[in-house]
Amino acid sequence: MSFYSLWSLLRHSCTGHGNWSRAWRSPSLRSSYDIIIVGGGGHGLASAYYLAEEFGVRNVAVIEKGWLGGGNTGRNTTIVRSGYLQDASALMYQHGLELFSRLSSKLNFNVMFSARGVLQLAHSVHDLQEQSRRAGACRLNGIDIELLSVDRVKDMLPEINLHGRFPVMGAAYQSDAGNARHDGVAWGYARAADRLGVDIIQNCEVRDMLIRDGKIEGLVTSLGDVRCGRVGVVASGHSSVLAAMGGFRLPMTSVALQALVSEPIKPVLDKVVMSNGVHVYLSQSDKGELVIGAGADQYSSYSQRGSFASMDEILSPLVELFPYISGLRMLRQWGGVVDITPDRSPILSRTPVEGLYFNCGWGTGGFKATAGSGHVFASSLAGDEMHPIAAPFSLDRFYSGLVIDEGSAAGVAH
Amino acid sequence: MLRVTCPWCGAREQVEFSCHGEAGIARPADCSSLDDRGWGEYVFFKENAKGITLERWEHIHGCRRWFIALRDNVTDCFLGFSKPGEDFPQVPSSYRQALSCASIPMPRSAGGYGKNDKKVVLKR
Repeated sequence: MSFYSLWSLLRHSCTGHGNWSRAWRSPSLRSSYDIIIVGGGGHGLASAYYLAEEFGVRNVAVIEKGWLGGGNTGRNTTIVRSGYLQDASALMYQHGLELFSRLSSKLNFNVMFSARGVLQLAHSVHDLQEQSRRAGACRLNGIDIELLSVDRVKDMLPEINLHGRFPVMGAAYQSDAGNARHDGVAWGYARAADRLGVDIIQNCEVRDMLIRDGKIEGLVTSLGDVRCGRVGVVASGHSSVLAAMGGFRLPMTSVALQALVSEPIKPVLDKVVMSNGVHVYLSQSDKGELVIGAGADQYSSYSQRGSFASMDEILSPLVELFPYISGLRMLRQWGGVVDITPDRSPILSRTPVEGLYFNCGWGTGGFKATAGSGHVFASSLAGDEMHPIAAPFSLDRFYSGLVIDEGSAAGVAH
Repeated sequence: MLRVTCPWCGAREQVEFSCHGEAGIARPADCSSLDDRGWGEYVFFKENAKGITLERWEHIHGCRRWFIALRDNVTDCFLGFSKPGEDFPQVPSSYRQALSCASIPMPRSAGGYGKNDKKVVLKR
């Protein structure tokens, strides 16, 4: 496994780039591991990487039903920000943002994190008041959210139409937030974990759990049985299916969330723009495509297809906000199965089965937390004790009532 | 766009409807003796099964009445509808045959067998 550097680039350019080694191995499943991570998306691969890199557990496997990053990691709108209202969420998402900002050099892989700034538009007096409250809460937690006047919004986004059906009245702005290349994050973590000896097994479906006396002993997979000490399930929309194998339920509904990209155009937008009010999120990728996030469907689904109604609902306000979009054709549209919890906050928790941990419930906004979630989950798995940042996100909150309500705080747009 | 058949109004577009989640969740009979764990389970926890599910829908932009829908949430096909108080809709035999080729689990309530039904639910 070669180290990526200017020197390696020069050396391989002499041989026509024909001799690059594979970024990670394709090992066969061994009969036992200390810890198995179920789910080879960003969060799962990050968990495996931090287990090996920081917490000294190298006898680790990541088991993935499909291909790496083929679920919601490859299906989101790549926004990384941390402006959440509740203290527990602020700590979690800020932890992720800080890790993201140094991730490329840490992984020796360019995840193309770009702190270009994220604007959340306000369309009403209520929006302005809510943003002011959230900005205050964020600043108390060390997250710098700035409130912008309408003029500053226009300066930053010259193409915006301020006087639509829902006029723009201001915005909350986080300057150190931005976006990253989603596939790059999965591949970077996979390559770095693989270098540390983690076995990444693709096309391997978990079919059942081997549980004895309330303790997990192993997994039944499509490639055979495997024994293990602990299991961390990071399966987003399919978490309830895996929980059923363990004999318990989760507070979760799986729904389809979709996004779409336009044909590539010249640089026109150098910020990430979100609006909870008219339900828009928009950014421009480095390829020039406009990346557009739509809303979640209002009914449960495992189909990985979004409804036409949701697509229509996002494009109408978007065309009003940015009229130039009306002339663009949309290139691709896709859906992902997201795991929505009642309080719109994730679940990082022990389960009724000893040794079985779940990291799920990231719903419509998990990409931004990939690094932070992986880090605190790895710490929890390695030490058999929930990391302080992860502890408030336990399943117990649905019994005690100490829920972390981000439903109203983050609104629909994550 | 999906078409939903309201038992009173007939087939309409999905945007006229609101889905209210899993059907057949009974309020615990003896509420006064229910502890926090019992309430948490009742209020928040869901089967969220993959496959054929029974759901409660409301024709919110129509007659505003509630009904039960049987739907496969993997294919998004609606398989049957019933009014409240009627028997739950059954999976059509043609669909059942088509499914026997695929490996989509069916919940017990829909007359099928999930692959986890054999398991004993752990006591908390």
